[in-house]
Amino acid sequence: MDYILETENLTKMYGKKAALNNVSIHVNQGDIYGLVGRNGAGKTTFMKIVCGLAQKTKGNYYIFGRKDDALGDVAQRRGLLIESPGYFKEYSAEMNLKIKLKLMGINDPEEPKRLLKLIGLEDAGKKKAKNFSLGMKQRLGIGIALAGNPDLVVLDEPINGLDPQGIIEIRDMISRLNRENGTTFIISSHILDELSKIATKYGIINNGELIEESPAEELRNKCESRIELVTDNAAKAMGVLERLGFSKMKVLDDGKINIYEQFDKTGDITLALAAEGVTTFEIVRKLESIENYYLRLVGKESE
Amino acid sequence: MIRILKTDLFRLFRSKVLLAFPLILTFSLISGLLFSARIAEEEEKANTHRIDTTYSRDVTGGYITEIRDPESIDPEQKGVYYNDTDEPMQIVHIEEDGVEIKVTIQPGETFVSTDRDFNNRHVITSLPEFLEGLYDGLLLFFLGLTVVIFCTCETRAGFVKNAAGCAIDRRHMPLSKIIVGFVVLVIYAAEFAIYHSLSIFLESAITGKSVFVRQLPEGDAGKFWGFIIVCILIHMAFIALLILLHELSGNRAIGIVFAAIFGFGILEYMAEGAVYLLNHFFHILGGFNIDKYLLMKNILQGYDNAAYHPQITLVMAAIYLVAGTVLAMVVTKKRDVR
Repeated sequence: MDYILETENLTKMYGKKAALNNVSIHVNQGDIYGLVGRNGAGKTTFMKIVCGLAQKTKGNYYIFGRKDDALGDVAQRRGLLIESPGYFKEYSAEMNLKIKLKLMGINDPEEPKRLLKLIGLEDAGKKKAKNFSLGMKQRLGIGIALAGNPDLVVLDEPINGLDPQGIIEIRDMISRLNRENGTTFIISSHILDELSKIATKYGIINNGELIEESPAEELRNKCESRIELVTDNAAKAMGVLERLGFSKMKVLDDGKINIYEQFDKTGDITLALAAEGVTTFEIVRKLESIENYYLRLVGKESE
Repeated sequence: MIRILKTDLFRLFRSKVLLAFPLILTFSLISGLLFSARIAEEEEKANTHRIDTTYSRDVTGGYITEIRDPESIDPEQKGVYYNDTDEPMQIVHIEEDGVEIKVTIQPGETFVSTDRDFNNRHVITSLPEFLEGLYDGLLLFFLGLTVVIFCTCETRAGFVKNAAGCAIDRRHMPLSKIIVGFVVLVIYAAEFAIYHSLSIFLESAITGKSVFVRQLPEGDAGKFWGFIIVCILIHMAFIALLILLHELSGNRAIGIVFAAIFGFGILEYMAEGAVYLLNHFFHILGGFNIDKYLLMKNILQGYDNAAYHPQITLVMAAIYLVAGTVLAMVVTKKRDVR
């Protein structure tokens, strides 16, 4: 399969410490790739390497099929926002975008205005970037990354500092660009619930190693679903459930029963319990969040 | 490369740092004019009480010489040159018509010049004075300051990540900055020439003297322009070294300190002192004279001076320029972007 970005055993050493250790990821055209990991896991180092800002120690990466040391003009097809937005504080948002567009060889006078509208800064006028709010600065950084219509955009914590409205707007913008232009995104974020709303593929990094890479659908399937059951008699209820053929279940300290199979049998459970004289106070089907899944995975790794 | 250069130039011409040098020149111009106005007034007062001295002139073989008893020469009297050495002495003399000539005075001879009268009636300038900025150190310091601020501004803003991220070859980035440095040098040299023109015309307007532009002595044009090329090379070498330093440290303060110690000649004084100490106390360098290998010190006295060693200076500046540029490119390519 042709990947827009592919890495082979990418390694980065700082002295004797491996910030990145044999990371091999695969990003398809049109993916919104969520890069997940705790602080210091190696996400930013990875992003810096594939954006040409840091030297790898070992391994290779390919962008649009070209090897890292022969990217040529392909390098101009990537946009980035890494660590913090890179802009000149003394200039307005429009001037900053003009500078980036010059770098991309674009002289269309309408382009900065289009980008300003896209990132919701069309009303910023001549206001200097240093006077922007945190959210405006973040938007400007994203705007600069998007200047020149790159095919691959690498965003490191893009929703940092944004208010809920801003988060929704940026999320919608990313989805729209992905849908309409086929732009591929690699996004790292600590806010996994937000990331889970748009990501189509995940890479989970821990201590510099890629511990899992899965399409979003597959990952969702891996998240543990359960039926939570609250009754007036947990012990009797467990007996009823066993007779019904359930085996993957456990009673929690507060008497709540968690069942990890046959999620479509909530009706049968209610009827069977009622027939045995057990009162059901609550029965609900729950899906584990990706955040919990991530924590569970990282927790196991740490152990 | 072209895109990076275009972007850098686009940014340069919108940068306020370019205003620092003309602002300093403007203040110098104002203070210089106030000073010259005061001097002119004092001269006028002095001239009214001055008893004109009659200068005698003899023309011998096209040169002017006069044998006078050294005892009869007033040491305060300007324009009288007595050669009390054993070697022929050469001085530059302005004729009444303003033509500059070189006069050779034989041992024991005295030359009485009419320079003073001419100077009193004219504001005199010359091509080397218009371009003096290129060899007096001040421009070098401001050039260094501008280049350091221009480069560190991009790093501090984090914009360097955008530039490096879409650069086809990161080695083009320092190369572009060196070219930008050359553009700044041209701008500053032009500003210095404009400042000099303004200052002489305004001085002329204030003092009532007419402006006279001295021509280069015959046969000196090639030597002078060669000297200017050497000066430009030294400045370019300085820029390359500053950019190398920036790529290595990324620190604005270090860059500014380096610009100051080189621009004001402190680094060369230190080198001179170090060589002297090594020679004096340890006899290590066997009487090695570092003077002719110093760049700014070589050019500081102008092109027509024994301290200027064109070939050595040219080669040294070229080596620094090439080494600084190549190393800056290698470091940029190899180092992670901060």
